[in-house]
Amino acid sequence: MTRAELVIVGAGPAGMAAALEAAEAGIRPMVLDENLQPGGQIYRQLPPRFVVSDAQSQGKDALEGKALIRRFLEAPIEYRPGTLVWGVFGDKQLGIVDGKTVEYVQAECVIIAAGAYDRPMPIPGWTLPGVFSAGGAQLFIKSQRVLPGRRVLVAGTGPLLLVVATHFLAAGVESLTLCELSCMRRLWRYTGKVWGHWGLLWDGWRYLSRIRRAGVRLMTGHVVTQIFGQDQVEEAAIAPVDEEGRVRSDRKGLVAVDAVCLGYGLLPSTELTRLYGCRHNFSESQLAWVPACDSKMETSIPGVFVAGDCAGVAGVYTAREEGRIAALAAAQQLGRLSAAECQRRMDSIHARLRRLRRFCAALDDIYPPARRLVDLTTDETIICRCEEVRAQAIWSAIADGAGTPTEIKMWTGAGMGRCQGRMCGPHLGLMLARGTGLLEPAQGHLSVRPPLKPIELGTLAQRII
Amino acid sequence: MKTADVIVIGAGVIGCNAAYQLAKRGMKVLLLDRAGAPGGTSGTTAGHVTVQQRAAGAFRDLTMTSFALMKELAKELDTDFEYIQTGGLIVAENETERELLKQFVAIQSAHLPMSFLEAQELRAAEPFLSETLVGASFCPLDGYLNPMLLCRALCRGIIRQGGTVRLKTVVTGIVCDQGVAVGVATSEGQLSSQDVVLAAGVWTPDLAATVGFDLPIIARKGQLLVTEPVGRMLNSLVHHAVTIPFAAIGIPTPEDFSNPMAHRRHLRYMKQARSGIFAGRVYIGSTSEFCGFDRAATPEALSTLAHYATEIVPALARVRLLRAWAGLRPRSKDGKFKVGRVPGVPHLYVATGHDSAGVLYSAVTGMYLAQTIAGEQPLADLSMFAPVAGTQSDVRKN
Amino acid sequence: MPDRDLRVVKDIHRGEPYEIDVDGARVPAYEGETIAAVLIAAGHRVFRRTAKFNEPRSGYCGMGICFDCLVVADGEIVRACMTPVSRDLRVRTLIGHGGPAELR
Repeated sequence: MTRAELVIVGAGPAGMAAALEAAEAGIRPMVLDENLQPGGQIYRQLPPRFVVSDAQSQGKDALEGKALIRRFLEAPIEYRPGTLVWGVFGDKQLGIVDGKTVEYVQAECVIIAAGAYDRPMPIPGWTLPGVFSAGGAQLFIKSQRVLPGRRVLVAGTGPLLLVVATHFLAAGVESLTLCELSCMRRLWRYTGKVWGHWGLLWDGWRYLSRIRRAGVRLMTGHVVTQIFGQDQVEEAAIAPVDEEGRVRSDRKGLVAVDAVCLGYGLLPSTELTRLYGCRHNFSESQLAWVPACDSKMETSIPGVFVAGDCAGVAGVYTAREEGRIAALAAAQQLGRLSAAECQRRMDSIHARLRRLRRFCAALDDIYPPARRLVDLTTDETIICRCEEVRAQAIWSAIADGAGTPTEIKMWTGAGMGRCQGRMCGPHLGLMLARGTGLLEPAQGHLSVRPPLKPIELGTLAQRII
Repeated sequence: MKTADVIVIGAGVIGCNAAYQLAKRGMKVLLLDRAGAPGGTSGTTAGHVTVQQRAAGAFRDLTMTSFALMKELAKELDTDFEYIQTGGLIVAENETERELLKQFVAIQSAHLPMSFLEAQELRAAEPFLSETLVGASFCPLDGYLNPMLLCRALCRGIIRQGGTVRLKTVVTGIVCDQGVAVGVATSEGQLSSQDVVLAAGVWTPDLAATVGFDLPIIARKGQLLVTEPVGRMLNSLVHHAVTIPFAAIGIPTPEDFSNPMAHRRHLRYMKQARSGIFAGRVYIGSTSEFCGFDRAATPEALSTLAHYATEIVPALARVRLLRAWAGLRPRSKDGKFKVGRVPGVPHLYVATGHDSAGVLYSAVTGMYLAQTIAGEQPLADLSMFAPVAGTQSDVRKN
Repeated sequence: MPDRDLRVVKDIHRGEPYEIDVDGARVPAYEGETIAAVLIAAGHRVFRRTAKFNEPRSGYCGMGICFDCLVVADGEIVRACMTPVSRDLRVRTLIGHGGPAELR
């Protein structure tokens, strides 16, 4: 069995920053990432043979990402791309798989930097080819240079919608409709909260200007209610939302599109922390389960740390700082730093983090994820994409007395598919809250079992202990 | 005014069956479980309903009775629990096993529809089975159901018959008045009843201990694997020759007969769900471990079961494992499950210890308990399974 | 590149061009592209059809967690968004759970 002092799960901004900080403290961390290149989602790289003519055109994130990746790849760390962490056994024995080989790694400390993913928003027609999550659409454009479509609707809520829209514009589309749930009045009312964060405000303004100049149809206070098409997206219905957040279906309009991108914010990826048994809290402001951790990013399990969006979605700068904190705390536990030295290094990072977190909290206020979104789901809407379980079956289970997501899973099969409940779990919680009045903290979260992603039996069979 | 006529503790297949049959007889039934859903250990099992391996005698008779009751339930309950009789194979991996299976089929054919398949016939019936298998016995009566859905269907039936199901209720002990059971103590106060049934699986001994009764039941952990859904690879249930009680059937086994402990084939089985919510998934089981109430998957079991799967169905090597989990089966130390009155404590009953045959015997167990409590003539004689007064600590008087 | 190709051409030079086989048709691809990108670029929208309701599915999350973009590639069921193409790769639409052909 392989041993490692420090294992870092995820080579996105948080994981890379943690690795560099750990290396500086004299540790040689093992960094495991399922993707073939580092960068996570926000710093996702183009394939190796692709060459960009004008490097500057890529944008600030891409350039900052490249710089971090360069440092990461040159650092004295053990980086293992294409490696998935699928299980946890005993105290800190991690089951990993690298192509066709299963291995077990005994770690002393673990930093989980598993990132986040787009909140799934089940509406009728959302499973049609041509419907992507906003993050997914962005990945195709950014890291494969392929457009999801030419007549595009980007719908949802949050600052990422603006980012995705500008990517589409830069890539060249025939038409672009941007449909933001929050109304203009609300957006202006909360601008005061972000006053003072000049750099980030400027970015927001630049995106908005670019969109306005390009003649994009920008609709605030609107939501996409249904997507139509035979074998792919052909049309979408958009309706206004009133002050109380009620959808005015009587006033809906249709738009002809060949791609719809749904962006309703991000959710922390908590499969590994839940499998580990870390305590999680439900954040009402983010409408998401978040692993509980202290100011040193340590979870309820000693020696297990979290960093980045998987510890609460807060953007790339927060992720990088949290990665550094987690690495410093691990370094202290491993005896590489004295408590005093660790504290000294952490102090300046903590100051930066406090500022960053204030901005993120403000954004949460401006773009609150709404429980009311469950109203967009009709009886026929597919909730569990993997197992094709419609909302009707879930309402039926709830009426029958199902009071937890796990019960719904057992009775309907929802959450039993290959994605392990990532796509349907959050919505099951919203539906349960609506149907029983019990909010997520009382419901508990969906149970997780190994492997976190499916592994070939032949691969597992090779490893006989 | 009592809370109920009968309180049943444990909403697994045993408790749900008992509560349902009691409710049907007009009793005011309260079914309790500490989990948020019915199922418990039952929900972690493969849900097999098999008759083939049973030797003629008490166990076979019980099996056939339970079979018939299961079919009635499938008609009676308003929700499907996916009971299907796919047929079951018991496979031979060498000449010795093959010969034994032939004799086995000859004897069992007197009472059950059975056939013996030579290697070529087996290959034709199940093209994905390994070519190392040299023969098999087949019985069309064997099959399985979805135990989670069975519990859910029974709970709906209980409620329809006027009973109550209360989940997320932790029972902390049995309440007695001058040595007679009069109810239970829960985290939310006391509940009173005429009779109390303990059907809490591996958690029953702790409850029995609160009245000083030593119930010899231990937790046996069994791990299972389930794959992603794939195209049809297996039609029937697959078990192995060493699971047959040859001696009980009257078939002598030669000196060199495979030692089951060596490769654990007596624990192993496979099936692919034909229909229902788990259609297409291949189930691979099982292990047998004694580690208290621990239910964690282990690397050893994962690789051992995966290896077993690819030995029997080589094409499974490219199929992906979706989930690994474990259940705690209540094993009775003397091999006989315990059903009946708790000696020395009037109005207290116990029903557990079915090990890996819980789903199979759930219908007949539930019916027997209900009939006993209701004062009817029981349809089956389960007196050999009655709990026996063993070493008892002081009977507590609450 | 054909007119309907959804590849972005501005400011980018791609790797080596090849062709892959998609349900019998030759489709252009570049070294380093994922199967999903190649299919989307070519306007091949339906990656698979579901087992229960025979509904069309394609990529959704783009990062390997939704498992909707499953296709059969050289006989193996894979996530199209996580699998790079290779020269003459054989890609097939996955129907339902797949049949015995995918398992041998």
